[in-house]
Amino acid sequence: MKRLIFVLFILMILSTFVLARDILVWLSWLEEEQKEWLLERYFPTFESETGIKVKYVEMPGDEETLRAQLIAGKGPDIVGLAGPSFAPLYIDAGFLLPLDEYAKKYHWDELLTDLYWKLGFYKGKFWMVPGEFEAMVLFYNPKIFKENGWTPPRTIREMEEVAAKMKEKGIMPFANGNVGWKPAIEWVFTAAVNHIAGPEKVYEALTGKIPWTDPSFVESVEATKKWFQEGWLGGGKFFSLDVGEVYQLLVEGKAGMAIWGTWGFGDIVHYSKSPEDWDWVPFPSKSGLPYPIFAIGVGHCDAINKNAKDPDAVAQYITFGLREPLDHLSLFAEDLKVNGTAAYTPIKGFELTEETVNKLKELGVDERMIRFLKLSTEAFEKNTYGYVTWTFWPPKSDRYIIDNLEMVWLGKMSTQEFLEGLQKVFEEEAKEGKVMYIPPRS
Amino acid sequence: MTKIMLLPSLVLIGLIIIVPSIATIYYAFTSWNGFTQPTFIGFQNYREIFSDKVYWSVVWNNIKWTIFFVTIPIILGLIAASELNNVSSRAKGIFKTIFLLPYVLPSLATARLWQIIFFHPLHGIITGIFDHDFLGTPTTALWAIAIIDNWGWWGFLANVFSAAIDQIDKAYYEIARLEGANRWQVFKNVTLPMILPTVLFMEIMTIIWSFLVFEYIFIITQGGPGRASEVLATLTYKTAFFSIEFGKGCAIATTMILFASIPIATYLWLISKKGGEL
Repeated sequence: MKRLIFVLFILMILSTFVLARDILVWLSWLEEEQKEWLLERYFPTFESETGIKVKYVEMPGDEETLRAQLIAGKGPDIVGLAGPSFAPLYIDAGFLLPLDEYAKKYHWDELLTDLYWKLGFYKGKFWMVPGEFEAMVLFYNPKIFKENGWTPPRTIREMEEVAAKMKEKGIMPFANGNVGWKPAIEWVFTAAVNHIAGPEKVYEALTGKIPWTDPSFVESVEATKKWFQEGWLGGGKFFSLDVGEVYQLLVEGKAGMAIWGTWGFGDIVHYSKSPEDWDWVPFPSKSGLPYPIFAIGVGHCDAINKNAKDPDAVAQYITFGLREPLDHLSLFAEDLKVNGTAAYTPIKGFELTEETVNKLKELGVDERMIRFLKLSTEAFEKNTYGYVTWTFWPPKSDRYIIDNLEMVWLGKMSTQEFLEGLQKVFEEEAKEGKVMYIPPRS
Repeated sequence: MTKIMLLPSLVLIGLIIIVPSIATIYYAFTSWNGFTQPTFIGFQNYREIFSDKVYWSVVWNNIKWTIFFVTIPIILGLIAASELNNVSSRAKGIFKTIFLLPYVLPSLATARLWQIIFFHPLHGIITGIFDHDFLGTPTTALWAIAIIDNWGWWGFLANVFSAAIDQIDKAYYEIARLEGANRWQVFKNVTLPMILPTVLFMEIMTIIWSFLVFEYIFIITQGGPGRASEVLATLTYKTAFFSIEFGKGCAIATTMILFASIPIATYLWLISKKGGEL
């Protein structure tokens, strides 16, 4: 009997090691508070619910490191991609695991909204779960607006008028710069094409029905050029202003507005000292276009490393994240507070009813963030959403905009030349099948 | 036995220098995204590069950078080194250490310090004095970065030249003084001719390094604004890693090697002409 108990005991110990499940994640680009929250709240909740241990390493978030590790057959189990347009490179190289089996097993098709579900496909297979819902908005300093009797602009003309007045008063109109993050220039481009040319035109260009040289895009690019040349963007110092300084300038009232994305919700709260020092409105639209329009995008996609030792455990981790608002509302509220709208992936079954909104407010989620979630959900329903470059433009076209728009602003390249170049690069990528799913307008 | 002793070094050189060099040359003739198998495309990358006006503007930036570094830091280094020759050995040691300090600081720290303290667009000291946004203006961005880089570089040169001056026989200076030569005449007729091989060597190395310059530019402006501070190395990096055109990136890198080879060839030619030494 003693021998039997001993054998059982040994088997139990061995099984603990043999059956123990774990996954490896990379932590990148995190503020201290975000990291603490992951380690102390998010990972433990997931671990206690599933019995799967989350191992982590802190790694640089750049693609070069990830690519080098994947080529070497290593890397994290859960592969974080900067957006769906980056996925084809990894998929074609055979670094990722097709997820159709797990999507079925964990009902991702029933969870994800139609747009997000379709964005996960490439060449007929489901490869990634898009997350981090984001959109372009206009941040502003309510105190400055109140003191000067201005109202937050709803049209491009109103925005330009208020920008000119700000400049006259010595206030930086837009706290925008690209030092530290060169792609910040594409935020301005995204805002312009979606709110001046309009999402219908952008859709037609992305689906190859009209070229990027269409007069509506000429007008959009010319507008961005004007914003820079008038000295509105970064007070004329766009190319030497650090992106990290924007929040400070805005909350201190040194700048009046910022053409920014909703990822800023999670960051600006760390600088804010009173509810009066920042707010946001949907980015103004050109007269004749709907208002509000939200140029939406995906800031992150989760895929599974082909060499993950326990892909099912990784799939459970992804499912946990997707179901967070449904199963763990208080954890989701904390997530929103720490990470802003990056915490949110639109899913079916999670509706911002009055009850949910009140609960989120009780849990301390900023009203301004909740307002965005509500308005952007309505934009989906009313078909007034647009497209951000880093999600819907293929990679080379996206890079072309980042590298060349500044040449237009500085007068080194004409708008026509810029758009012709974009058309050429875009056509090449479209031929290669690099344009991902573009959600239709109805 | 001697040859066997050389083997580890040869293997290391082969692995670290020769293999990557051959690979770079091979990939320059391919279309490769860094992920999938490369496809051989002949001279296509070179045709694209040479017909792109951006490439030539970038080469011109490297030439401007070279012109700056073969003149300003060398002159500053020579002045400082010759002045060090006139102070006590204790003071010389202190000054040499001070001159060398900026050089040993990590480039990232130097770049950020200058960016924040001197060239910040809103409250930088130099920005304030001249009321000009140096790093954000295309006409001044490259020069501003050159000044930042030079902050550490001229002090290093001063140390190198000072070490060369230390090797000069003091009798030459005694004779010059007895002949009534002033400081400029001493420098022109004694110091400079005696350290000319060192100066020439540093000039040639400066030209080579100027065509390979990367870190300060990438940290501070990433080649902007509007490619005003773009150089061959940043263009190579951005083409390979940002535009995901590794083949083309390798092609640009090989042209960079060609440009850097010109001063090397010149140096070797000069040596051979002078019978093995400069």
